[in-house]
Amino acid sequence: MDIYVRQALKNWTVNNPAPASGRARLMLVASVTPQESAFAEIGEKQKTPFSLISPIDQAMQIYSLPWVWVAHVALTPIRRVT
Amino acid sequence: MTAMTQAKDSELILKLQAGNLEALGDLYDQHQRLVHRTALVITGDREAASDLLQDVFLRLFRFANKIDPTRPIEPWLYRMTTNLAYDWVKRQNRWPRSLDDLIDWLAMPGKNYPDDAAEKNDEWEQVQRAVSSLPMPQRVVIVLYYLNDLSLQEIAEILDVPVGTVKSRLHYGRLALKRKLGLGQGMLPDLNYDRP
Repeated sequence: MDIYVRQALKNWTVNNPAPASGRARLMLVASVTPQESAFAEIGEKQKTPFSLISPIDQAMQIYSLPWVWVAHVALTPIRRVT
Repeated sequence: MTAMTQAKDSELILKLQAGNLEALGDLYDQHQRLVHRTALVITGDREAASDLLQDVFLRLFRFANKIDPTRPIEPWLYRMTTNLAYDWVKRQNRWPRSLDDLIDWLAMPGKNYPDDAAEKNDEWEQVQRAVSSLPMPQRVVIVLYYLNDLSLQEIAEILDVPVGTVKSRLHYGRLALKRKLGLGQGMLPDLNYDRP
């Protein structure tokens, strides 16, 4: 069975090759696609306002942890309401 | 992979990291068959395989600076191909199967038959369909093992799972294949895990 499956899969893929235009298509798309290193440079140059949101998000995430709530309740001094 | 091919790939990756498009083209020529056939059998769809082939090499171009030129490129290509194929299959499964089949039928009946339906090709197609209907984890292992002749150790490294897991997926994949292909018990001897 192993030989049969191996041979069948290989034969089927040989009969279904990649399109001949694949390389040209790739080169065309790649020529207008920046590499990741270029993204890093752009990111360094342009600091967006979203970078300001991040510290607030982090603070909210920490405050939503259960043990922070327990500590908050435990450490808050009990005062007379009335 | 020979030492010479490895040296050539390393040189091409270094050029690619410098933004050389010709190096991308050369790497494509060198490895496109590997990527295409893997994507083709996992997805079972020729158009998807062509798109994944483009996607894998575009990512190679975009993330070239993250690739270690001293190491072989093939494991990276296999990993990227299987990951993208996995995502494609997951997206496809969101559509109801019957609707998908209907669209296929309306668009181009028998589009997966490149030649006139030769008897032998039908037989190979039947095996391919059986493999494409396996659950993804088993399917990927079957494709890497049977189609690409990789060892269990290599598959484990590509998929980042223990060798035992690969063995188990291969075992259950073989059992399912046997059932789907209607092969008799006598045709499924214990697997010799050494490469042929």
